[in-house]
Amino acid sequence: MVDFNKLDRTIHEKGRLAIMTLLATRPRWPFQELKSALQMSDGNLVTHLRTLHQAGYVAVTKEVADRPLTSYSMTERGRSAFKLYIETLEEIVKLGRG
Amino acid sequence: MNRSAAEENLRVIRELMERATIYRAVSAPGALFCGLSALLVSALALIPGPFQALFQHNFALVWIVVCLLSVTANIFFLVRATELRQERFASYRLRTALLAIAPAFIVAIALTFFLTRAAGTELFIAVCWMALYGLALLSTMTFAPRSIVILGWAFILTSVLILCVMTPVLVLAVSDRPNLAMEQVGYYAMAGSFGLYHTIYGLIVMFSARPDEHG
Repeated sequence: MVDFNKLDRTIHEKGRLAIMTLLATRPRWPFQELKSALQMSDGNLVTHLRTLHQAGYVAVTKEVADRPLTSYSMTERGRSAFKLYIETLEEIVKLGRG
Repeated sequence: MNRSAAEENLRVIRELMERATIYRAVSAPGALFCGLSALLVSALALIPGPFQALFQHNFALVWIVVCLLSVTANIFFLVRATELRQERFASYRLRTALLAIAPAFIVAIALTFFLTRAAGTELFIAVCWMALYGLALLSTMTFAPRSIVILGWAFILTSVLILCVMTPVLVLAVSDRPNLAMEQVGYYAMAGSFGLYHTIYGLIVMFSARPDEHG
């Protein structure tokens, strides 16, 4: 029996799931690259990133080279939560095949 | 959550992950520039005219210049494409691609130095460049779009075909017809591979992919 409480509500939202997926593919993602890959508005992306940051899933790095550059990366906590989320989805799929 | 919703979420995750790691190291306009330059240079070397002797006697040098110009053009178009996507040029994907292709390019440079010391090696230089360029492209296979993988295989198979089947025939042809020199055969090989393949690749990608994906 699948414990549906394991399905992390923070990650389960469509936009945040996409962000977490991309963050899982590379060590760091600059804000503009995330925005371009996800085709999200600045405001929408910032809101989702803030939620993930508050949950401790995403770390923020701010640098100033020629211009300010904000990058995002997945924390260990975020990686574990994302892994658990995928495992839960796989369990649901397996259960459905029954 | 039901099974189909879970499957849909897993599919979205897989597709996003695949898309995030895809990188086109050879831009479509860059390839077109390289292909057309190679065809032009080959035509100048093969058709009787003021450049024929100069180009035929400096086979390796001519192609090194074409290569450098093509690399410069490719970098220019890649920078333009990253600007269109509002990304940084020196991205994680670019570094990964450079690390993947570097070994093949280092071997190509070493072999060029070695082979250019002997006369009559033009065809073998062309074959080495084809094979190593093909290997460089295929070394990006895990994160390259399908068109790059096909281009890589085209170079590999062409070089193998020349080595296995055509070289004995070409050597005989050159000995029978002294005016068909090895450098001419080398130019034919370069025009048919680097010239033609890049032109076809460039045109197909330019007409089939989105402008920000040409890079």
